[in-house]
Amino acid sequence: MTPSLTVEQIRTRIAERQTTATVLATRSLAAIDAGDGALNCFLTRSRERAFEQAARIDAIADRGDPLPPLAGVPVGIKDVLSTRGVRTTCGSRILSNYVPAYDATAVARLENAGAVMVGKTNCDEFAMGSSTENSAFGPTRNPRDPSRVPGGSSGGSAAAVAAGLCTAALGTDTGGSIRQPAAFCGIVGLLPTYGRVSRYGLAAFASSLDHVGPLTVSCRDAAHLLQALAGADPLDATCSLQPVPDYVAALEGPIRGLRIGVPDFGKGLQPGVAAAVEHAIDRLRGAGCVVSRVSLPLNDAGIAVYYVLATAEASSNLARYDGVRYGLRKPAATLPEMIRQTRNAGFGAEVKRRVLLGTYVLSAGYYDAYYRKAQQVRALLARGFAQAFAEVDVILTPTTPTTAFALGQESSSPVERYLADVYTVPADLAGIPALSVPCGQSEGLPVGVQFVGRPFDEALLLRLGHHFERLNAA
Amino acid sequence: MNIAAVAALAHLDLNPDELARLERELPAILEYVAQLNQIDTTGVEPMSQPLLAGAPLREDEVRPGFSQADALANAPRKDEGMFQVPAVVSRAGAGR
Repeated sequence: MTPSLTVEQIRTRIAERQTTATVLATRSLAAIDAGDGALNCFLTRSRERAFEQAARIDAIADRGDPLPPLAGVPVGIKDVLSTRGVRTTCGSRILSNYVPAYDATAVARLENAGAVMVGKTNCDEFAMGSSTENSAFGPTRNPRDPSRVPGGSSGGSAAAVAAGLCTAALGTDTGGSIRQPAAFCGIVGLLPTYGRVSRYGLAAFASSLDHVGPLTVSCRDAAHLLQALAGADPLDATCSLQPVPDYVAALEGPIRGLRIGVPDFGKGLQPGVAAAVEHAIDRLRGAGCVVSRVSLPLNDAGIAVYYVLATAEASSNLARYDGVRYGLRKPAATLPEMIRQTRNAGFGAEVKRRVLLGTYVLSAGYYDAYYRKAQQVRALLARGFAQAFAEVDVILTPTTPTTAFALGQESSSPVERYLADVYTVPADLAGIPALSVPCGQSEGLPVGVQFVGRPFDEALLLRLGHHFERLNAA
Repeated sequence: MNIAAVAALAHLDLNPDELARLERELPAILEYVAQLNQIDTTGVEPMSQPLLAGAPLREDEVRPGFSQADALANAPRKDEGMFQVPAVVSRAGAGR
């Protein structure tokens, strides 16, 4: 296993011929073979592609040429991102045999930067869920405590990195699906600004909310991954032209004097989580950050806004799964019957629930009452962040109200389940970046602290996270 | 809320158990969502997606796409280079 090697260590060791990309890929795949039976992080292993890529990296090292920044880094890719020739299921029965003809831009960029994809990671079906229990291929377990969930929907990616099966992973975040599993598994998860990372080749869930981002052991590794991922893409018209700064160089800047806003955390926060987050605030204050209260009153409405907009967009995006061109097909005498039976057999309970809710809120007579209203509140919520960022540089919250819960123990009430996303959903709605960093433990389980920033201010969040990691280790 | 009618719109064919569960759950979710009505949004422009600093446009030029074989590779049924589906219209006239 290679859990202790960072992105930079891997590159240096390959350059200095202490190891090879092929050796590291072999170790990662062997660790998956040995350890993943119990965890179920990976749905598909891309052995052949991994060794081809590793051989390319090793050839560069053999020639003595400069290695690309992510040279030889074993990565897992959430199974909602297209990979040419490698099965991509979205955690759904409806795509259990789907093999894409093209690569997602995010995957291609990681490989162009030298990373070695070792496999596709488990997730809640179409990224809808918070525990990875909604996968059609069985739940993933949390490596910190296998009786517990890793979070979701990017649970396979978070658990794989936390278990050291790979060095980094890609996840996606629509309402918290990178940051929440990162917090539950004790690793770093970054939600980039909307439009910072291309979504070409991402199976769409809610297009105005979907983001692609990295899960890593450290903020420095996250900076390296974001460096490779960020930037305009002619294949994604929602991807921004904003120039990409040097995220790694920005890590070492000062944090003294940084203004950190702390909102009211509301009710329902576990005492152990509250204590860990308060401790994090104390450490940052001790390092010279200026901590003040900040008011974000509309964030309480975030969950309601989210479950209107995300389900509405999902009902439209998931209309494409009809059994005609790819995926599962249930034979029937007529086309409409075939489509209905295919969708009924192919979609799990949470996906059906959300598609139905979304269809309802978009249906004639309800559009203005639900969808338009939610879009208006979303605008107010985003405005609230903009006003807060006139006074502070970063907003700090817990990432989640609780630590990882036990498998099968998530509330049976959908509303109660959805409320657990209260700290993560607002950044997705506003389209602003947010970073979850480990900040200690509560009863032996990891706790995450979340830093939310201005649009395209990932460099500042990563710098703060990087300094915080050192404060927290001290 | 008529779940069966919404399910028909969404091309879902729910069994009685699923129908019964959703008849409990969906109204509870909508009840929670109704809190949005207490927020004054008079004159607020709806936000359809986060601000983009000028969505980029590109030249409309021909570029390589998928081959027919690639596009059909995942088709559950295909015939003579086309996706094959059950009859949409029948000789008797009724499609359903």
